[in-house]
Formats: sequence, structure tokens, C-alpha cells
Amino acid sequence: MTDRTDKPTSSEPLLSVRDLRTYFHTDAGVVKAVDGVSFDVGPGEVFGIVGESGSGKSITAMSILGLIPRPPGKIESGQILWKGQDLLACTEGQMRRIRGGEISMTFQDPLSALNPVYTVGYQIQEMVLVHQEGSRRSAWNRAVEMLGQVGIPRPAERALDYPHQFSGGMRQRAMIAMALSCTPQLIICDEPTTALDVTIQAQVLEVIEKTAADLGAAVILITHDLGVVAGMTDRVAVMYGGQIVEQGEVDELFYRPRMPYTWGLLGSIPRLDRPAHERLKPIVGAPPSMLRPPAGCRFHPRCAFACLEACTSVGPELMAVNADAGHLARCHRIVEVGWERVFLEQQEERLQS
Amino acid sequence: MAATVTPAAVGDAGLGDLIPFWTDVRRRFLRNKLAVGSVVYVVLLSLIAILAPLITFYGPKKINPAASLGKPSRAHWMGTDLLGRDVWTRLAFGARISLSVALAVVVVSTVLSLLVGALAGYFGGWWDTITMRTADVFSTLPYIVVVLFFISVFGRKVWVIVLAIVALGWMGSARLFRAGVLQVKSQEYIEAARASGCSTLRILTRHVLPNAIQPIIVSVAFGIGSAILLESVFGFLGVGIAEPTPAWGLMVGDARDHLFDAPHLFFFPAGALVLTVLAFTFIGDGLRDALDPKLRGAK
Repeated sequence: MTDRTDKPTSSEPLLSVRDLRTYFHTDAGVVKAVDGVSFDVGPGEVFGIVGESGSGKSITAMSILGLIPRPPGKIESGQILWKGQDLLACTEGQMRRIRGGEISMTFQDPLSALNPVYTVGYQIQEMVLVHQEGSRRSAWNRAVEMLGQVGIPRPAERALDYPHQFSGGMRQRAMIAMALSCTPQLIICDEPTTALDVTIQAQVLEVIEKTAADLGAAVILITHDLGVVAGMTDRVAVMYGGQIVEQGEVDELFYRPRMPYTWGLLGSIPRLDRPAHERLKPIVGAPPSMLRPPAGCRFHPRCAFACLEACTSVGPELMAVNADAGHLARCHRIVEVGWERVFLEQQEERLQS
Repeated sequence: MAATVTPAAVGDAGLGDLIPFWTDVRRRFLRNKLAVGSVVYVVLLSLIAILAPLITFYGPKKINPAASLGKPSRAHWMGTDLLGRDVWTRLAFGARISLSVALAVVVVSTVLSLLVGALAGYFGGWWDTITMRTADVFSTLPYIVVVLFFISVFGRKVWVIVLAIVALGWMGSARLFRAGVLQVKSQEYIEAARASGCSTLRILTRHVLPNAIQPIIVSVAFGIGSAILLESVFGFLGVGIAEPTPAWGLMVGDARDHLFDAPHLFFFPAGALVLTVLAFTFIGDGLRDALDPKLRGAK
């Protein structure tokens, strides 16, 4: 559906999501939580997915692992190619081997994602035993080794603690240790820093980056925080209303954003290098209702630049704006008017206000 | 006894030497003096029941008209009833009936309610509807009608009484367990377990059960007490286990006519009943506190 010109990552992508559509059939109607999402993740790559709550980031991750609750959820169409194999065609038994063994996931709130009745070490041990042959003792040793690798002090002792005896940051580390214990090739981190204090967010990100790199695992980092993405990803996709609205290499996307929504996201980050009197520019309005998304471009009701007729009637396609950097954007204005003029308009508006 | 009331827990106690979960629970249980005292009482009672033939000197059904309504004495520690039977002997043999009925009831109804509750809670749908509406129907049945139905069809046998009590009591713990499973299954760690490749069976046994088992273990302890009580009520009303089998409820029932001329006939079996039911209640309380996950690992 799109003239995607993704930069070929090494030879063949590890994970290739093609036109994924995950809908929820509720009493109120069909919620198109993920509506035509496509992206590739290469081996060892760190891929960021950014978006507001309800933009479909987590549902995309759940769809990859086949964890969409059915009913009401249903993957309507698309392909999820894992090393060339379509995960949507896999049996439950095949999926079980892939989950945790080849693709693993960490969750936003590590306290509720760890089982309160088992010790941390035991849970990692179980994870290892589910996927690998070997004795309990060797699985336990692996658990202790992984806890050490993510920076838990005295891992052999702390492995005997229950999750509630860990601090927030340590729990998140423990979950990362568990997710990586079976040396998966891809780890999906769903909002890994959201439940953490700012002071330890950077530490946890560093642990993800370093441990995944040591094991050669690719990372999909799901977050609403652009700051998190900027520091450690190779490529980023911005999601809005169940669609990817902009995608590209991280530097390209941050320095030359081409979609008004991304501008909005960047404009709402507090920065120390801006003049103190400059106000943050929030994105006005609220995220769209996924039950009845706006006609045309889904962002147009909140967009300061939506002045083309097409904006309100025709949904824009994801178009290449810089093929070299694999930069795609979903905006009529960019294509028809050119981003320079749009940008100038924005600057003028800013000067006037 | 404590071990036999937690059949599901026993399976999990074999988690290996690395996991001090049940050690922790035991430590906190042992700090509750009332519960520990109750366990001691129950152990004693079980010993009395098991060793009944060795520690009594008369047959439980042995009639001796010459000793009718005898007061407690050196020969008859707790006196004799109208037919001259030794009350202590009948009390000791009656403990066998009470405890084995209660045990059978609890085992059968726990297994039943674990199955029904877990499946209803985890899978929902039509299975949930059918089982829970069946439970509703069972709850509306008056217990005296149920037991009359059972004994008129099958006779006044011990297993018939067990079945009747199970039929009257399984709904409560099934609902309890279903509610627990419903609550646990929406937790993120269940999703995390699925995301790490666990099978449904493994999730149910390793993740759902241990987190939802706490109310069941507690209800088992309370259930033993109420099964003993219900069995006695049936005996008292004359619809339970038939004479001349020594059952506590029957003995209390017999004592009605001699409340004033031979009060020991009433006080000993009634006292044993009250103490036993209380003991299981205290054990249930102690277990509830010991199993509270929020106190886990507390010093």
C-alpha cells in the first residue's frame, strides 16, 4: 500500500510487520487500534515506537506476540514475518516456543508483571526451564548470572528475594534479566521507564542497551517519551491513531521532522537550551477516538497546518521524504506544498504570537 | 492434619529447596499461638480417633442396663447414657466419624470446586454460565430436603451423608475460587507469563493457582468445621448417620431428654463439638494471616 523505501538493514529484516490491522469488536463498534502498520526491524537494531496513550503502540507489540485477547480483539489482515515465517499462521504451540525463547517482552509496571508468590530468581529459572533443556540447578545459575548482568548487586542473594522486596528500578532490571535469559533475538520493551523515577530511567535504559547488545538482540522500544528514544534507538516510528505517521532514522527524524504531529511532540519537550521565557507548546485537543476516527488525515482536527481540502477528506499515505535515511511521513501538505513552506509558515506564526 | 487440608498446596511445596515460600508461611503461622494450639488440639483429637480401641475399655455399642445414666466415675470417666453405654468410648469412636466425614467432604468438595471454579473463572463463556447457574440452583435447596432426599434414596450411610454435605457446600468455595481466578487472570504477570511462552496448563497451575489458592486453603479449614457441625445437626435431627453408630450429633440428640438428670450426656459431646469447630476456625484464621501475600517475607 505504501511506496516504502526502507533502508535495507543488513541483508534481511529479522522482523517485518506488513500492513498489520488489529481491530477490537466492541459493543460500541469496531475500534481500529492498529490500522495498517508496517515496519522492519533488523538484527541487533534498536527500533523505537513513539506515540500517545491509545495510539496503538502496545497493541502492535501484543499482535506480534499473538497476545491479543480474542474476542474482542482480532487481527484482521496483514503479515508479521519473523525470520521469513508468518507468525499469524503459526499454531499456538509454535508461538509458545517463539514467545520468550526468540521474542520476549518486558512490561511497563514490573511489580504487577512479576508474580508476587515466587522469588525473582525462581521466576527467571522457570522461564529458562520452559525454553531450554537442562537441570534446575543450571537454570538457577543462569538466573543469578542474568541478574548480575543487569547490575543487581549480590545477585546470588537477591535472587532469593520476592518482587516486592526489590526497588522499582531493580524490578525493571529483573524483568529485563528474565526477558533476556533465553537469549532471544528480539526484546520488546513496553514503556520500560514510565513507572520509574527520573533518576533511574537512564540507568535502566543503559542496561537494556548494553545487555541487548551483549547478546546481539534487537530491541523494540515502545514509549511516549521522545527523550528516551533519542538516546538509544537507531530508527523511530511515530504512531498516531493506530497508524505510523512518520518513520526514519533517529537523527533524521529529530533534526528534520516532516509531520506536524512530530513537530508537536518535539515542541512539547521542556529543554534547557531554549530561552527561559519561551513557553512549551502543547499539542492542542485530545487524541482521536479510535471508535470514530476523523475522516481524512487523523491528525487534522489538531493540526495547525491542515488547510488543504484533502486533509479533511482523504487519508494521506506514508510517503518517502528522504529515501536515503528511510524517512517516511504521512502528510498531504508536505507532499503538495513542500515542507520548507510549511515550516516557514510555522516560524511566521511563532513570530507573530 | 494441616497437610491433609491443603492438597493443592502440597503439589506446590515440592518447588525445590531453593524456594522458601512455604517455609515463610509456616514461620508466620507458628507465631499465631491460638492457631498453633488448635493444631495441637486437632492432632490430639486425631490420635484419639485413630487409637480409640486402645484407649477405651468398653465397646462403643456395648449396652449395660445396670449402669444406665451413670455419673462420671473412675470406671466411666464421662459417665454412661440411658442404655448404659460408656460416653468416653462413644466420644472417642465418634471422633472417627466426625473427622472422617469432614475430611471426605473437604477433599471431594475442594477438588470439585477447584475444577469448577478454575475453569469457570479462567475460560468464562458458556462453561462459566452453566456452572454458576447450577451453583445458584444448589444454593436455593433447603438442606434438610437435600439430606432427606439422599437418605431416602441411598439409606443412612456415612458416604451418603458425605455426598449430601458436599452437595450443600461446594458452591461457596467454587465461587470463591472463581472470583480469585478472575482477579488473578487480569493481572499483568499472567500476561507476562503468556508472553514468556507458558502453556495454559502451566499458567493455571503455576501462576493462577498459587495466587488464587489462599482463600481456598482458608475456606478448607473453615469447611472442616462446618462439615462437622452439619453432620452433627443431621445426627441431632435424626436424619444423619443411624444409631447405634456413635456420632457426636446423635449423642447430643439423645441427651435432650436427660438435660437435667444427666447433664454430662449433653456437655461432653457438645463440648467436643464446640471445641473442634472452634479449633478449625482458629486454624483457618491463622492460615489466612500466614498466607497473606502482603505479609510475605515480613520478619
